[in-house]
Amino acid sequence: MAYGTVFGTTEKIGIVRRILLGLEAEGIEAVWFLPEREQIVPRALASIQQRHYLRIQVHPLSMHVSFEGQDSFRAALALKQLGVRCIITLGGDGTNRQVAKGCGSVPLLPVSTGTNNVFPYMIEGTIAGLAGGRFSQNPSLQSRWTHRSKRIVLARDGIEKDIALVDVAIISQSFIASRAIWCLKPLQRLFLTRAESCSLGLSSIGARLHPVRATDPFGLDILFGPHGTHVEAPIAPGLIEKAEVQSWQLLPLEKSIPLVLSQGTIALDGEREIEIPQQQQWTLVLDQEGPWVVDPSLVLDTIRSSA
Amino acid sequence: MELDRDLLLGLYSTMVKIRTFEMEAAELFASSLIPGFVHLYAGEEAIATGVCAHLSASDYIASTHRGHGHLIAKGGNLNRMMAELFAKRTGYCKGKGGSMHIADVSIGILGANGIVGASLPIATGAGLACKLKGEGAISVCFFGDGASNRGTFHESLNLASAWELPVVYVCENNYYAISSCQRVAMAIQDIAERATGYGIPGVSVDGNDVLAVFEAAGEAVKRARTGNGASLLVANTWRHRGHFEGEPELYRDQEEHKLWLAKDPIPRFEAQLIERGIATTEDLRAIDRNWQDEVRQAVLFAEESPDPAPDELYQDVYAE
Repeated sequence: MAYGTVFGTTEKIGIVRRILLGLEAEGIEAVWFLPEREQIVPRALASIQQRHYLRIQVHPLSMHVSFEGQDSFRAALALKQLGVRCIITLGGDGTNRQVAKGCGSVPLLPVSTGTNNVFPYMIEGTIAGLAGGRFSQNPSLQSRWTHRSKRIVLARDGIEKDIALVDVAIISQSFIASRAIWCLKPLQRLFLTRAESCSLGLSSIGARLHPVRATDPFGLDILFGPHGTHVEAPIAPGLIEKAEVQSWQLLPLEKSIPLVLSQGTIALDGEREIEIPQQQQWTLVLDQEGPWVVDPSLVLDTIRSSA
Repeated sequence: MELDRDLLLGLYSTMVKIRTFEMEAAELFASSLIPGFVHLYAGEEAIATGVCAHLSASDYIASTHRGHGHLIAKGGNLNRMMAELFAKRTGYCKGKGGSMHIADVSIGILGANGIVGASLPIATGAGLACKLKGEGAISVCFFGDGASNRGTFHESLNLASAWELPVVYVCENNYYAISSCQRVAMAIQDIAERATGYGIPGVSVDGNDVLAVFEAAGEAVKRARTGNGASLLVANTWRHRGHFEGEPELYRDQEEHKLWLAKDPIPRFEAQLIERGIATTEDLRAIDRNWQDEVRQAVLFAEESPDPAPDELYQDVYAE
């Protein structure tokens, strides 16, 4: 167990409450939400609707809900079909990966609900609501306020199997088990879309070798093994581990990397996701066809200058 | 986490041992051969197995009304357990306790327990004893989602965190406190959130994945053993049977029930072992047959054991 903070239900309700108030202040008329088990959005709304005389209409998405990660994917598909202008996500890298598979070209404003994430912003809810609202109200400026994120596409036998928004790790551990990665010893190879010095997680290893920004047209490919460079990196909150890097190189866009894997697991965005029981042929490609991401600072800077 | 073949097969074996015992108990109860109540652990085997694999006889566990799985995983004797279910003199409580009161202090089993939430202060007290003795032992507390709504949960976690006790609290969330669904009994989904209020780590895992439980429990046990205090481990699972044997069970959605049955921890793990070449189907069937034989022997032992005599009624009520 690391020493991270995962936001509980009460905190998530508070974040949503503040997002809704931010959206209302920007004149947003309607939002749709994923109806999940804890009823975070209805509970957030109930606490402010009367007191603030909200005009904003808040609707649950009409969709099948299984209370699993796939719900985020299905909600993103439904929101895309509705023609929304922006999707505000609450969650971590895993939630955003699910949303990224279904959102198409609808931009995301990802809000982190824990301290162990790279893709979403650690941003206050009111600010996210204001930025999301202003962004949605100004379609003509949206291209200036967004960037297209990179992603890594994993395929087996030519068929796309999954994507990662931040990292793909090849690990010698045979089982997914509890998913978390607590030590670096079983790490064999790591592919990164980004590697920023102030990020936690596996991408922090890359940041100590060669920083890569979210907008750089390349990633990193790191091979682990003995007799290499020692790198000390914060792979989880409070967990600073040593890695032995045999070699590394920049990972170019659109270059197909063949992988012959046997008896191990593939971790996507920091969690073991795919078990490899026997030898299998995989390919991996870094591309720039990930979700469009709203930069709240750019959006809010515009509010200031127009004032 | 690298796991060797012996350990992996041991995890499988323990799960099958529990399941075999429980399904036999179901048959015996339906045939009116077992008096009283039985609350079966079938479906939840991965939790007791994954947690107790980290424990030795000097560690303590406190169990629940659904305790057979915990007792077996901790090393309880099948003959004496079955004899207790049969209310025989050779049983763990000399036939006077039944399913919900089996205990074996010699191997750290502080007892199953008929009172919901009662395991919490018992395990916390055992944790205090472990800390005071300083011999490296720890205490593990099993309880359910319903118990996590009771005062004993909150009082125990508060004391354990304040005194940094070596206790691992294992909440087996099977989503139903008897017939009350978790959704209507608490405003949160992830019970591990409750750890935050006590300043201890809390983590939720797939309780039907024995390796997920084993790995997460390993971290919590390590924390406790190395003097870093208590943890809350929430294992989300599903009981295959009713709250107790014989109930009509009208409160669970049958579609949801079917979805959970498809996540049965034993076939899931079996498929993993075979797919990786760790075991063959024949290897696993041999393990299954072994426990079928052992459980059959336990039934014979119980059937052939004497009843307790009427004049023993007031013996063993108090410790001497």
